[in-house]
Amino acid sequence: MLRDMQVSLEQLPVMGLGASLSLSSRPDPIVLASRDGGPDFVEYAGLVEVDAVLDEVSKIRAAGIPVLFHPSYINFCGSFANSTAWLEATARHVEAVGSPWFAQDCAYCFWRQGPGYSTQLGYFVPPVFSDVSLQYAIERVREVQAMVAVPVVVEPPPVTFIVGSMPLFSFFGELSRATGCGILLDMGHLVSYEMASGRRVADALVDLPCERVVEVHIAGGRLSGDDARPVYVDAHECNILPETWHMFDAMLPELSGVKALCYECEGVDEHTVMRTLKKIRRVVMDKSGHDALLARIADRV
Amino acid sequence: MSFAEQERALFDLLFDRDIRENFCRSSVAALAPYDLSDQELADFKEIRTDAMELDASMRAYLILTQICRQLPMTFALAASLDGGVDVLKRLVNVKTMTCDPLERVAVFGCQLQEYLGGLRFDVEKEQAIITAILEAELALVWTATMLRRQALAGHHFAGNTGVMLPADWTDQPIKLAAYVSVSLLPLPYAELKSGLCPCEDEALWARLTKAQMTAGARRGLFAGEQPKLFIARAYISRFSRFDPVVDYQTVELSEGFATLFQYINDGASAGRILAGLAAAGMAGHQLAGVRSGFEQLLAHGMLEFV
Repeated sequence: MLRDMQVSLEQLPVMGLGASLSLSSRPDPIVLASRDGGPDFVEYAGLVEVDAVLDEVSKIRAAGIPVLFHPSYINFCGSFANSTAWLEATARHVEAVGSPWFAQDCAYCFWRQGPGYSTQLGYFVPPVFSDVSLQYAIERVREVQAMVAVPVVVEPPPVTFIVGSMPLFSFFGELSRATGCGILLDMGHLVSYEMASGRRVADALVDLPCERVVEVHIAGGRLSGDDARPVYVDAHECNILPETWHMFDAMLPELSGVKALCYECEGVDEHTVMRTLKKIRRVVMDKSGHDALLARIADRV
Repeated sequence: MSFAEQERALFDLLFDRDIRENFCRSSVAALAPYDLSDQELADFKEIRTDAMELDASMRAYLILTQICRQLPMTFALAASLDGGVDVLKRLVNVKTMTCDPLERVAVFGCQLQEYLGGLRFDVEKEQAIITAILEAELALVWTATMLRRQALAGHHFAGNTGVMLPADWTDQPIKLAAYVSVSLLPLPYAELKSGLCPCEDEALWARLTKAQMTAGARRGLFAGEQPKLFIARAYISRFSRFDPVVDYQTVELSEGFATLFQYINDGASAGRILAGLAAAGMAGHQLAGVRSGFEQLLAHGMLEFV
């Protein structure tokens, strides 16, 4: 199964550079994607039931723009199992919109009270970074893989503080090896981990199966707390911080299997989105060694 | 020792202010009540306490933004009281967060109701008014909760269609319909809402954390009381197995109509009630108003025929 999944990850389509947007609000995904230098695909969060979004997503797809579904209601860690009904609805959703993989942050979206969106906890609660927690994460990923027909991809979540001493890349590397799942790395989330833990992610880079990183996110954020020991806060409507750009520069050359990069830009004005997409493309052209990705990116430069 | 205990401790650190504050002083003492092994305890040593405090406050902020959307007037009033904003923040606690998420707003509201009941107000009538508004909004929350629970259990409901009344509607016995709340407000709902809430519900909590209504403005709003009976029927506006959306049909009637509700579930018809009022000497124009009230309530589904 692991070998099949690895082959499956390699066979995923190269999507290029996309934008994560809120459906039915500005900037309009179709208008944005039609612009020179616009996104190659649209990523969206949304309700579990595909009926709630199918009209909007169908319009986007009819315009020739592929989509990726990236919600926030699956527990990819912890002891609180996902609901069969929610997993079945997820499988229907993924199939109906043609999302080539299913990715979400590896975090708690709900607690023992039952399934729901991460908003009911405020936002994601990150996993405990320990061996025992890893075993539960493996169980949760396999639970989703059993129901969803496309490859499952897990993302280290944003963190403000850390519980557990297992390095981030060790945890996710082992999770990917044990389940065959892909990995999505969000550059801002990596910055958040470094600030929260005092560790450098690169110190455990050898533990990360870089060829399994199929997607990269980059997004705005802000620093909170005192200057000596800031805390990174995910804030997509803000500018991308220098620390995040540096992380992107440093990580991209290591990631030979990336199929998609996504600028998470909910709440950002169209002009800033276009300017940022241009900058991201320049970095990719400069730093990535992935020929298929470079060819895809070069198409829109 | 167990992972479940670690999860319990983590949850408590996020949502129990006392435990979190104890942890910041001494992690060992704070986690002593949990059945954790040495290794499990060691996992918590990684925590930056300043960052954990920030995390907890950001979570509470987002959760309060959601709850505020369902209790907007209550929030505006509570925030206007001394220390009110902090009280609201403190109610994002383990009791609120460990209940069924469907009931979370109601559980939050009940705690707030209990807190307000224990306060002393300079103007006694003010407490009654604030309580009435909270109870009215809580009633809306409860009817929506019950309806949502039924929808999630697979029950199907007709949409919000109006009711065509038969010619002999006054002769048929009537009763209160399901998912209907009846509350007495000090002012018409729209006036109360615009007076208390300076912006859209989605942005209200953010606004209240920065600026609250003054006590003087609050008392000024209630000075010109025009009590209204506020009747609301919750209905499913978008059916879903996972996220049913509830809206409300509302009717506002004069305060005097409230006493008539005691007859409604007694098997009486509107006609019989009107006849009784006429026999008691009610004036013609008032009787016409009562009849119109019954007609509205039936047409909007708040009352139904037995």
